[in-house]
Amino acid sequence: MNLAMSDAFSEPPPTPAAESTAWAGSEAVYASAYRDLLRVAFVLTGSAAAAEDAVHDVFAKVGPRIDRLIEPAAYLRVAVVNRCRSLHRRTVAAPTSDRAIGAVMDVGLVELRDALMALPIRQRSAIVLRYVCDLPEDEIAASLKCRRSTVRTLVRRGLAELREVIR
Amino acid sequence: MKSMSDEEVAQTETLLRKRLAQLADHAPTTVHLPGVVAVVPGQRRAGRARRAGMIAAITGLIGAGGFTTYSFLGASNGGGAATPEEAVTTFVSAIEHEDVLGMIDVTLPEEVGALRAAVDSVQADAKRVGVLADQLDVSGVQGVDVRVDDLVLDTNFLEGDLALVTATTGTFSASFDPQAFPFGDKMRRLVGDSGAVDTLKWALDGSGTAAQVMTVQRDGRWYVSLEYTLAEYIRQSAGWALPGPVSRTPVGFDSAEKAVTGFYDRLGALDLQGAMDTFAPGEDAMAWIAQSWMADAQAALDRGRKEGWSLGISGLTYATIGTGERLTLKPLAFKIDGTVPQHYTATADPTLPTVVAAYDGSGYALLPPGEMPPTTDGLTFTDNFAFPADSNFTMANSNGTIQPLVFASEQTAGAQPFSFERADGCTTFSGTGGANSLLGVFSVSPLATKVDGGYRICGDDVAAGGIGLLVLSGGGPFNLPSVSVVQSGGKWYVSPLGTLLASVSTGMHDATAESSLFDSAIAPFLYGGFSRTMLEALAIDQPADSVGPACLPALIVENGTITGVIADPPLDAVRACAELGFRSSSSSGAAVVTAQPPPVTESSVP
Repeated sequence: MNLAMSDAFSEPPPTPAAESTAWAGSEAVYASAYRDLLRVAFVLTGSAAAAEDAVHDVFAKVGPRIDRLIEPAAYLRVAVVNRCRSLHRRTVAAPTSDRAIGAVMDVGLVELRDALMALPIRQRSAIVLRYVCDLPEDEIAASLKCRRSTVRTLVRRGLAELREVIR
Repeated sequence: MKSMSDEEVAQTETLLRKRLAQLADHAPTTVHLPGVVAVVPGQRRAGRARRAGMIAAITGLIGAGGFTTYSFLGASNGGGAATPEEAVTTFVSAIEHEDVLGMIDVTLPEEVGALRAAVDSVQADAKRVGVLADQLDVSGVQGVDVRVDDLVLDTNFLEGDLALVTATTGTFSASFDPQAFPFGDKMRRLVGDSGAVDTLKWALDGSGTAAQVMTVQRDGRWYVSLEYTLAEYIRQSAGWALPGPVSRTPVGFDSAEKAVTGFYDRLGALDLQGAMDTFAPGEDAMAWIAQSWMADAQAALDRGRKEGWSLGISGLTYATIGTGERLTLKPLAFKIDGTVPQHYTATADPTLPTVVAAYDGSGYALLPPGEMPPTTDGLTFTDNFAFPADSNFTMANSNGTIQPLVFASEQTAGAQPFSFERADGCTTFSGTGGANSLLGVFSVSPLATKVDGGYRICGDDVAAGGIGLLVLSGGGPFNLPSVSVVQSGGKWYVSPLGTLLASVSTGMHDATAESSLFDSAIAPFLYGGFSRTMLEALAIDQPADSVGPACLPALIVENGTITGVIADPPLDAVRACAELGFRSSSSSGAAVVTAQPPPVTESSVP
């Protein structure tokens, strides 16, 4: 799936001024970006509450300074992924998904979510960046601070782990 | 785990995308628009171990690198902190969290652009020549770990919207793991696999050196300033009095070239205040510290001018590095014409004998009246030396030449002219009479060749860079430093911080992927402070047993004498040379020379 990001997110802006205007003047752009990032965070954390916390934390930190970003999509995406990974580290001993959400999901999705949560956080991040955000390997490598070959390995192993639960 | 065929992978990928999208559809949809998002300022967590940038290099690498990673529009009034202490703690906290926005937010806006330009340039060139790995992400460098514990800060408010924040107690610790650090291929080969983790621990107990950061107030908010921090460090080291607020009117130029030429013209005219007026608006730190010494220095220059000192720079051409509103201009060609006072040099009396001191301290030799041979060939130095009642005095150089004295009869009347001319990668020094004494420093370099009326040295300067403005580099190839300029309000100005950073970035820019890093301008940063030029100047013609065994693998030795430096010397060997230095084998076993040489006539140097 390709994230339904707005035009302002999908490509780096042609000029800083144009980007700045797009971000500064449109609440719809913010809202769209916010929802897109909630989707990423939710898949990554398996928890609606954790996703809301992660995205809120990032937007709170960026705040009005977002107008100064030339590539806000890239920055925010990496920030949210890092925030989710940070939350994972802090709650590593606690359940990472909330069962309440599972009550309204079909069984297959619950199994997928649980299988995702069972993956190492680095592997899970690679899977989400690849198949939710549709990022190329080099951008995933930059986000995870690793080599492209490492990304390839992480994705391959993740795919192998998830293959059974998505059939 | 069973491996999948390519077809299975493709099918699984398609299905996974679909299922993940369905899963994402269950994500919450409540949006907190920016207007209702509370921006919570970072809070200092006393007593907890925290990673932080305690030294400029690491701060610059991580922080400024982050500036590049996320490419900001530049200055803004939206940042800063409520207090100087908060600015520092926010900066430290931001580094701990690799929070680029946080770092930028409390960095003086005028400095962000200079840092970004320099790091952009260094990063690109370092990757190109194999110093850094392609996949390096400077917003999270592996192998570098810095921590700060139990930090206690004290703030001293100064005049001119400045405040000095001092870490009175606390523990700074840092570790560097060369195996984990993302070196490029060439640097990795140089470092090898044997590099151990280096650790550094520095405890502040309030009695010794304190870690200090200067902060600046802009529009009621406080920012960390790298430039002011450096200026304050220099001020304290020199023992200068605390200067007052800066008051100056920046002078802009219509083009980058005109800005640099205007800066050098003013320096050439010995007009220090005029040179500083070319500095960019907001970059006031150098002008601030200059108040401590400007009056005395300008008075000395004015006295020197009256005595016969003069300087003029002409024919400046540049290579331009960078694009946009920040550029670095590297001088390619120029000519400096000047004069020294007639009495600048210690003129020798041709009716007296001349005592020559051996370079290695092994003794003295005596020359008959009126004689001044160019080299020590044929002279016998002895430590059992009887000084004549009256004599001239000079000394031998490491390469066997004798520091020339100028006999009064050789002096021409009036100021003595000299010139430095740079063209085609070589610098030619020439002068007459007393000016020869000025040129004597170049004669000792093994790279110098004698030309009519002076010396010529080819190559690029590796030592002075942007740090040593107009400082002659002690016998190395001489070039004017590169100067960085910035466009502001349609005019171009000199950027002091950019110029300082350019000493690294231009050196990296000139390096090639094919050549040894030891031949690049960044060699001193990699090889313990040494470059090929410096090592050759110290080592060539020295006895092989005058250096430690760990240094020898870097050197070419013929018949017991060092004749050169190998093409690509091992890092450890060069560092050993740098650490051990060079001792004289003859002096090590010789009796201590206690005879005092006669005093040399004082020269008038502005």
